[in-house]
Amino acid sequence: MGPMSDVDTLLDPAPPPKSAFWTVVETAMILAFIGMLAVMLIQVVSRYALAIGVPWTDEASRYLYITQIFLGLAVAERYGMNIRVTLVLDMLSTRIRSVIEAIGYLLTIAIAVAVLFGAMRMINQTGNVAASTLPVTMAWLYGVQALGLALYITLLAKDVVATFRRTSSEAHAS
Amino acid sequence: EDIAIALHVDPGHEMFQVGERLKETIEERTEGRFTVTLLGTEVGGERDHLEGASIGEYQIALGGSMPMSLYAAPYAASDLPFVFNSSADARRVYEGEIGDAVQESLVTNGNLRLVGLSIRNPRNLTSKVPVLSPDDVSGARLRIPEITPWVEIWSEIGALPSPIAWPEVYTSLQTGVIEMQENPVDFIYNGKLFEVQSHVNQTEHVYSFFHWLMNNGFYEGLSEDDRVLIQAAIDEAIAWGDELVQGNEAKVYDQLVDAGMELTEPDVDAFRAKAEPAIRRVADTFAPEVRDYVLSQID
Amino acid sequence: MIILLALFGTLIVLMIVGVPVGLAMIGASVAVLLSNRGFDNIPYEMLAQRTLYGVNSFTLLAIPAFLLIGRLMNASGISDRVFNVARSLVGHLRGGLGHVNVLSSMIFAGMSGSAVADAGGLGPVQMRAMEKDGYDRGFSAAVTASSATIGPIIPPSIPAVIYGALANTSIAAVFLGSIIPGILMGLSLMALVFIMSHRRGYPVSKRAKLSEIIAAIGAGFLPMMTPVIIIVGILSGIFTPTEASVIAVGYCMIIAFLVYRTISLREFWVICRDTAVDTAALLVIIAGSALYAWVLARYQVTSQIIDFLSGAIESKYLLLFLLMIFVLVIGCFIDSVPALFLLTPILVPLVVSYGIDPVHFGVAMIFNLMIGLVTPPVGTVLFTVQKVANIPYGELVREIMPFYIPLFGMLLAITFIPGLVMFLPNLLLR
Ligand code: NA
Ligand code: NA
Repeated sequence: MGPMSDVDTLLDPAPPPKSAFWTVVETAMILAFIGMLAVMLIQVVSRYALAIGVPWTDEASRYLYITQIFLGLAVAERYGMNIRVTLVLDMLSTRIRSVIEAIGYLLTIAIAVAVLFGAMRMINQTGNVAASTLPVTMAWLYGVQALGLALYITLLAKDVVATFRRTSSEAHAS
Repeated sequence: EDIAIALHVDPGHEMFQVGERLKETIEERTEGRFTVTLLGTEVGGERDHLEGASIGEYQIALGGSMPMSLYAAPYAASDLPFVFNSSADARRVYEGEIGDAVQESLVTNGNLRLVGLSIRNPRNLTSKVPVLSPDDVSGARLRIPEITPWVEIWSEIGALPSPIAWPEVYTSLQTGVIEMQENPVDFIYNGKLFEVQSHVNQTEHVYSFFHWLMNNGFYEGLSEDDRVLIQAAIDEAIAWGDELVQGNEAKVYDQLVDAGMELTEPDVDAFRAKAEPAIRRVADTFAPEVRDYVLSQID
Repeated sequence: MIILLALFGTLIVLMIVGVPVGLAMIGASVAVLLSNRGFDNIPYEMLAQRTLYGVNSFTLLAIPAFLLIGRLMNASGISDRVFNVARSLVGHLRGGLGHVNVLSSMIFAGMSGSAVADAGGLGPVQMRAMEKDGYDRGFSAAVTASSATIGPIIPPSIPAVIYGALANTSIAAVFLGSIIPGILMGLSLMALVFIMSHRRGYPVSKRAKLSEIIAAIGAGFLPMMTPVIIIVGILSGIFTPTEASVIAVGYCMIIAFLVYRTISLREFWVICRDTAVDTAALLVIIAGSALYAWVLARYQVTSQIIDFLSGAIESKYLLLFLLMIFVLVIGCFIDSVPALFLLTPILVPLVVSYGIDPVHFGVAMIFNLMIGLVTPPVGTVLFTVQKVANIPYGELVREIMPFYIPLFGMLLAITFIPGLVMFLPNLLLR
């Protein structure tokens, strides 16, 4: 992915402003990422080098992965790295592009809210449904999903406001 | 009204055939008031289906071992390795007062109602060397599903349980990442494991069931007549399926032998004796009446 | 069928207005559920469940691992070393750096599992060198883009891991089956470079001395052992293909930290962050396509397609041919990973019912989708290289046209000569 160009951002591709809150989120994401690789390594080493069976590695690495992905959804938005196709948008004039982008943001928020709503319901449903090998309930997993989505929606909402401001100031200028 | 039935098995599997029979019967007897949609693994795996039925997206879902461990863990004894000698012994966990408690637990925790049990072929151990006694699995890398009591019992016997996702089991047996796995014979045959394993060791260590579960809201919304009618259709389809499963078992054994596998008859009592401490530990986590019943089986 | 059109139409509209691809797939699914069941009866829980369980797969862990390897190699200067090896070996041919470009991509392919990692990491090294030697920028960009698609064909490969998991097929067999097609792809691209270089009179450089070759290989030896470790490790049963990816990460880290000492812990932290962000961006698409595929299955669209096709077509060769055209069209619009998620569950049961080996079909489909990465309108590798080379999109598309000839030629070959794919798996895995 990296410098992919349909990863084009609508706003600034520059590094996001520093914030203590987001440093915590980002650190959690990176730790989940490194933890996931470490658990996979434990799986191979414990089976082959140490000859002991560790039954929880498969599930643990998957759940760390899920944590990394859903926190990463929000972090990626901050870096403008979520994958979008801007082929058509790029052909439009700035004015029309701003309007369409604003619509795009609102639709994205609506979609994310629908999933968030489902995740909240699942948290309620699975509060006493256990994972297979780990001492957690599935509600935690849906909780991580809900958290990532909520952070993502917050960021999008900010973007919508910014886009509207920009559009209206452009309208004043012309 | 549509009844969506989610089955986490391949379209050729016996339980899928039971589902097809159920579809025919229900649609015919309700003269089209109900239609039935059969859904397979394309809509997800076992846990996905159970959750889907729990929220009412599917009206009926098939479960393997998961429904009990997820929603009725204090009663989840029927699939304990090396405890029971027959399906009939294992089935008692669903009968009488224990059965009522199981039903209550499933409804409370999963919003699901147990409407039927289908017999499964017992699980056998496959390997590249003959396995006759617990010593033969000592230190062997064995793939088993992530079910905590299973892991505990097989570890006690001396194996090294490894969690390998089912899609990678064939390759992992082929290359030697794992040396053994255990499954009912139909899974062994359909997974083409005869290409990468040489022995079917008839440990018959698990007599588990397929659980047919109905969304409780859907159940309560049915009229009394429809409830009776649908339950009768389920009972008939399951009875038909049980015969099919038991009839097929011998055929599958023949097919496995034709494919070059050797059958061995291990000393199952020796396995049970070796596993006993773990079985006792696991039994202590169950409801008292279930624990007593499990212990009565191994004493 | 109406559902299929609604799903596709809504998806395109949402993508055009700038909704991220993964969210657009969710949105299209919601739209279909909404129109079928009404606002009050949308199964919101299923939206959460499918998107969560869609990424709850151990096999998919190979993706972050391979992406991390790509970043580690670029940050630690391994890309330059690989380029120098290729240069010492084929730099003296007519159109030398064109060949070097292809060969270095082939070597790099043995370590990386993603075409974008190749285009974004090795691409700048390749472009800089060709620019210095006076090659047209358009030509250089076209060679860079087309050869980057070898990355996920020669194992290890993210698409192969995903396909194997979705098709319930041995990932090791798909890996092995891709080796010969990957090498043939490289050779056919080199043949084209040779012809074009003669026509355009591209330069010839001095042949490297034996001592220079030995020095270059010595400098690149350790990273070039990565594919050997992966393949031998899988075949000898030390680890599974998914686990191989994390072993390769460990190996690259040892090289970067202990041998070359080119990466600091601080840099490693940033690399992990960037990889985690890349992974999330990609996996959100996979999550979205899981819901999308669920809607297709829930309304039994998939089974209807299969019933329709198997009623209409008798010859398996005709089926393969039509499917390859279908996949190509999809690949023009959708990135390879989401396309795999969309197509594999529909197509594999179909081809198996015609007696086609799923390993053979998988390799052909992956090859096909890799071509899709360098075809307009949506070509992820094209976009990446366009950015790296800083040339207009239209010019890059024009320059890459001739490269479609060897690519399509090889696609036809591996589609209709199953032996090219099946030889190695049959030899080593039976
Ligand atoms: Na590769
Ligand atoms: Na290249």
